[in-house]
Amino acid sequence: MSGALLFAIAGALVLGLALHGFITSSSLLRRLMAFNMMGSGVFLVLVGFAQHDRGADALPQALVLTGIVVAVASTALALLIFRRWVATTGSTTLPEDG
Amino acid sequence: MTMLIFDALLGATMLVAAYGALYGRNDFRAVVMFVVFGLLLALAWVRLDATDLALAEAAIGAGLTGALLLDTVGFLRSQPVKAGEAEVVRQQRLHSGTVSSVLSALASAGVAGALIFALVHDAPFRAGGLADTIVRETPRSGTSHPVTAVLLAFRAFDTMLEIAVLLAAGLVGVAVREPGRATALATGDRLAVSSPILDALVPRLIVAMILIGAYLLWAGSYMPGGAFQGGALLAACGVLLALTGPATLDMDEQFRIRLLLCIGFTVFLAVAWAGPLQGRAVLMLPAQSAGAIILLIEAMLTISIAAILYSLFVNAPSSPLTTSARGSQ
Repeated sequence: MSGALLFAIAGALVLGLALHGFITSSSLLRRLMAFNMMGSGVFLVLVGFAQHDRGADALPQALVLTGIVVAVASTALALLIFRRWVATTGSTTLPEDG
Repeated sequence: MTMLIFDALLGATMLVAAYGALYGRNDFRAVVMFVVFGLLLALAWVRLDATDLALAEAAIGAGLTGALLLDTVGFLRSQPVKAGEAEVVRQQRLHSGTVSSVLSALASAGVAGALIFALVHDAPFRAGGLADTIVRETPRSGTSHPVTAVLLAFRAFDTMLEIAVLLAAGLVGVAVREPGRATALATGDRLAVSSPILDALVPRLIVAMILIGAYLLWAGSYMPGGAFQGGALLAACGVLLALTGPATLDMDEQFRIRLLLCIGFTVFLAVAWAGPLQGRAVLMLPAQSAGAIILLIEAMLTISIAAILYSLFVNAPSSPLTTSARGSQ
């Protein structure tokens, strides 16, 4: 068991936990945060698994760096749409959630 | 062995923070735990020898995303939320039914369990990656930092499409902004909060942040750092300015703002197609000036990333607190 594999496993656990939060919460804000954390879990799996029993690997690191930046842009966009939704409807959830 | 214990503890703490962010009692607590999670994740990147990711995570995952989420929590508090909605949400969670809660728990545990099984089972048999090739070829790329070489030389196409995705997000943000009503930030509104400490600190912080952002950009050519980290820091700088408001950038100058949004993608595209015009492949850089061109692309990317993230922030509907505070003056 290397430290890198340990972080990959932690990433898998974060992914599972965040997936559960994503399914069970009806607040759109919480869902967005859960979605973000699912991404973080995937990033940990990507880099941790690739670097298991060997040193730093620039390829998965560059991939994940791209992923982090795209994640923040999509989060900012989702927050913008969410705030317009709240301003328009006065609700923080979607209709089918009640 | 000691470090393995530290890693295990760090992983466990991350899970606790993630739990707090997902199931925290109110949104404010959840966002704070989210920021804590981001900072712990930055530490995990350091332990994985991924300094680039640690820098990006601290600036973006914890810093910028945290600020955006916190601002949204403030916005939610200012909104007249439908009566009894919080109650409805709580009730719903209580009465969501045993079957569906068991199913969702099983599904998430299954995903995590299967993934962990695959990781542990396949780890010993993993074939070699490209790490050695990248280290060997990096000196030919025009930069001496492997991650920058992957981003802007070996896999430059990915990075070009990434800035295209960011540009698309920024443009949607511009399109979705409320017509007619300029956002409060655009009209130069400032928070009702004002304190001598804030007034003295913000201008000095801004100078430091711009300097560090420029340094990160420059450092990217030979050590961890680069356009993403620098751009995120500049965007955070803009968000800080917009929130405290000693001087707001004028978003009404639409043309200039749009120029900033798209300059990164435009320059990248121009460089990509300069190759075929001079008898090289698309995105192939001339060997003697590759370093300078990479730095140019990175500088433009930094500007665009900062402008896109900033405009996404200021184009969001802002809380009426700031607007009404101004209206009553």
